[in-house]
Amino acid sequence: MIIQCIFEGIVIGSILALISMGIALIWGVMNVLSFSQGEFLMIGMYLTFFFNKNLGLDPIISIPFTAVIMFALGVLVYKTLIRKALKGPILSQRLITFALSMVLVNGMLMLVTSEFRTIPKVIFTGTVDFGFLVISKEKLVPLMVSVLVTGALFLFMNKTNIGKAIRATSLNKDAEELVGIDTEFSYMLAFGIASAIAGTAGCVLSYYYYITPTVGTSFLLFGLIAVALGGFGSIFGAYIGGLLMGIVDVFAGVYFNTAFKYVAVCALFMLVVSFRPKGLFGK
Amino acid sequence: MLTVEHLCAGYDGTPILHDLSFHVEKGKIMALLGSNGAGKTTALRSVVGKIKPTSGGIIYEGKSIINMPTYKMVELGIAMVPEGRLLFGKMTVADNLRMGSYRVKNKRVIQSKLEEIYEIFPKIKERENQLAETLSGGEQQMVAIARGLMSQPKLLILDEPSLGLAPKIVKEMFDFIKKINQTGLTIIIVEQNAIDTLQFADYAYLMNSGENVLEGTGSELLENEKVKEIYLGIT
Repeated sequence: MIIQCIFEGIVIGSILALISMGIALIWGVMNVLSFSQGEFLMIGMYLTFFFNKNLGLDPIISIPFTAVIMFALGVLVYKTLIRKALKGPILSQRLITFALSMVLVNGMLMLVTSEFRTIPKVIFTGTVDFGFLVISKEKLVPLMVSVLVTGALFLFMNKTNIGKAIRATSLNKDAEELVGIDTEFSYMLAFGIASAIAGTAGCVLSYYYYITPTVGTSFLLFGLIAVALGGFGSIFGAYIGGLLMGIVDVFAGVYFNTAFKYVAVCALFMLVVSFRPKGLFGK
Repeated sequence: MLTVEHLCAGYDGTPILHDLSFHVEKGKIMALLGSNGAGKTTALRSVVGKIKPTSGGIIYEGKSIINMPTYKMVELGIAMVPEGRLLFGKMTVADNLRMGSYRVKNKRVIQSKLEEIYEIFPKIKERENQLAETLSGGEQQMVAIARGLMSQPKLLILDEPSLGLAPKIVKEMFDFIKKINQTGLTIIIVEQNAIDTLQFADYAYLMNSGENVLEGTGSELLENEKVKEIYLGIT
């Protein structure tokens, strides 16, 4: 049972990790708190649903399309909203993504109603039974994709020139312009990449999860706490924070009750803050 | 190569530069001297577009660069090594150097430039895979200059390169600056360490309260009574 819980926790945690890495990336690079990350996941889920219903695409196949659309959407949001807000007072910078998230959730509620939807048929179904652990293939897909996306992100940020430029932007904005990196370009890319990752998370989450306009809200809350837990600005910390959140979430739900999971997650966060104010990996 | 005319600039409505003019000739070392708060750094930041001047002109190789964004400066051949070094602390030394040549697209050119720099600074090569923040102050300043050189500049701007360094290291640094100047690079150097700087500068301007009050060749200024009074306490 414990092993089963850990597995389920890692599955949900791997999705949370995708959300929290996006938040950490955006925060690290441009000091914007992205409250709309959960809604990007939700839109990713609806795109997946749309591709599935109208074109018969399996969620896995639609990942590249969804990712590209979400990247474009992220760039558009950056160009039209974030870039402008960054010129304004700090409170606007903090609130703008919150406002965007409200508009997206309620806009979607008007557009598609709060009806729960699911993807009726997916390629990978069935279970693998190890005796001590039953793995459903629908949950294995999100896990694998999350690991791949995370690996790709780390390679991109550490090995490519553009990735290094984005890191340079987060490390020192003054020096970064002096070596010829355009700060706004880095911002735009970071925002686009973070939304593409959230969209991809939406794709694979729809493999076994219901789709509704408010689905992103709880993912955002847990994702934010995961980032704070890992230490703001550290993408690796955000990833570990996400996994941890998932495990705590599942354990609290199974051994106490589902209502308790918010208590458990927030209590864990408070504990970490009181003992390590800068988070587990913050310096 | 670079001419600044009647420049006025400041931060958020607080004027710092009032009427600053200076000129740098190709292949020379030009020093901007002055006490703390004279506006030296503001002058440099205006040249590289970090501050928008309120009036005046900045002409580089015959073209006005006054409203050019900072990130385009390296393409024009202007590299600035900022005060306080501003390395990317959590990146390796090699990555810091590669970031310096971010705008250079040819990988072979980058590699040969990197080797060239390792040849001049063998110490940097030893530290290649260390995080920049773990280096000593002197080594960090070397990396900062090397990062500036990686963009293959025609004009190198150094803001207080001797700041916070031990006297022995400062001497090494100045020797090194002379050496890179001999390769044909034009250099603007801002220093508080005026007497040492005047020994090797071809031309120098003394700034006070946002304007230039004195100018001349290095040796001229060294002989000047006013400079002696300010920097050596001789009257």
